[in-house]
Amino acid sequence: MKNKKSFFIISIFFILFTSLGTVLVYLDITYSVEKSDIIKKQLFVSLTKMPDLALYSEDSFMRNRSLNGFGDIHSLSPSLLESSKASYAISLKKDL
Amino acid sequence: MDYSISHILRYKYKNLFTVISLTILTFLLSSLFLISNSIKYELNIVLDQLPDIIIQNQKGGIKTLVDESLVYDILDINGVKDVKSRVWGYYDFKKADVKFLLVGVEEFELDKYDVNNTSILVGIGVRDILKKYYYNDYFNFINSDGNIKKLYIKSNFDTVTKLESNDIIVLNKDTLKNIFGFEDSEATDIAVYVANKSEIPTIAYKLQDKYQNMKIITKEDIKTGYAEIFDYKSGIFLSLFIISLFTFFVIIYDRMSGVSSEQKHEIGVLKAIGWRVQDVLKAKFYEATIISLSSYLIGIILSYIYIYIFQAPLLKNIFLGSSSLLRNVDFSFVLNIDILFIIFFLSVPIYIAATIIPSWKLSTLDADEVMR
Repeated sequence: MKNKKSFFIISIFFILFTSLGTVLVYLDITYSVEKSDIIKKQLFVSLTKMPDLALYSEDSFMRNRSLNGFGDIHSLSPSLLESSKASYAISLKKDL
Repeated sequence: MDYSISHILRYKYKNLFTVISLTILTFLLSSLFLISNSIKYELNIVLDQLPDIIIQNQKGGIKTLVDESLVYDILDINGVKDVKSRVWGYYDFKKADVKFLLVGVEEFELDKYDVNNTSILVGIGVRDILKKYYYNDYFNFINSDGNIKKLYIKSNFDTVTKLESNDIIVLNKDTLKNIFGFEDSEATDIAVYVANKSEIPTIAYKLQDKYQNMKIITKEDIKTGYAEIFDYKSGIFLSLFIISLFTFFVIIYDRMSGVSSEQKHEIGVLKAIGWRVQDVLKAKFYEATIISLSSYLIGIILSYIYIYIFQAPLLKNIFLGSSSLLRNVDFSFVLNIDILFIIFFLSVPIYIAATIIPSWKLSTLDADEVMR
């Protein structure tokens, strides 16, 4: 076949793109957050009224924002200063 | 195209090394972006449920408990919709070397969960830790006065709330005060809800004026703080990674610039048989595209599988703490096309440019000059 090698490469890329699509679809079906799950999360946060995401307790303010120490604004970010004017300027510019 | 493929196969081991290196770099970069994106998404979907303003008492800059009677004073401020006192704190379970976050809620809020003042609701992480220490049906809290308070485990929160509830125990507010030794009129802090969200900064300033020693935190502060911290954490890793990526492309460029005499001879022969500059560049372009695009696709596929199916072992510790309670959180899948484009433009075009530019230099010379 004249373009055997080209056909081979195109097939490889077709397989790769199809694999990517398959992985994305599978993950979307299996691991994405459903609407009912979002409601459950929101109900939980409404119940506890706590800052969310049980992620990083070593920086205590990450689990409970009100716990950040005064020194944290210098070592980590000045936006940790409460009622920082920077908070509103940043929030206008970008979404999380 | 056939020439490009033949050229790739002729130097297969060298090109295989390049593919593997570029795949690893793409994999690391995309993993970092995907984890950060998942966490930000989780934060965003529940942010609206948080109180608009949180008020915390301080004495001498040190956090202390707040008087619950403040609730009635704050309710008098125009624009305030609701005020609730929050009673929460950390309970140190020394045996497992973990800290549980205890949150006290009003009795009526617990009715629908059928929880009374002798029972608790626990997060999945808490339940697993307690089971490990044979607390299957109840747990013995030790009060501030040294007495044991036995509370029965009613149930655990749904696994879908794992990222929010993993280290939490929810119980009756009065029971919690008893455990921590709070007075009846004391609370950890106060949550304020505002009717008109655009008035939050105004009310925050009013509160700060009224209560000079209090710490006032708005929901916007929390949102910005999280965003800045995630960007900071990922930024440290990213800045180190960018150095590696840059070094890789410099090596590729250097490799292509110092081409071997064999490759110079090859380009010279191509020029001699009638290939124009465009033809040589086209062949190089196909070659670079095949290598970089296949590396990109393999790297992306592997990173999605690594993050969401295997839950990113090792790499997630950049964002998570070292507490054993916090290791068991899962990332939710969020498809963000922007990230795929960012990673694509950070890898594929740069590699193609690093390959084509040195070849262009050679292809513009005469055939006999190249072969000499």
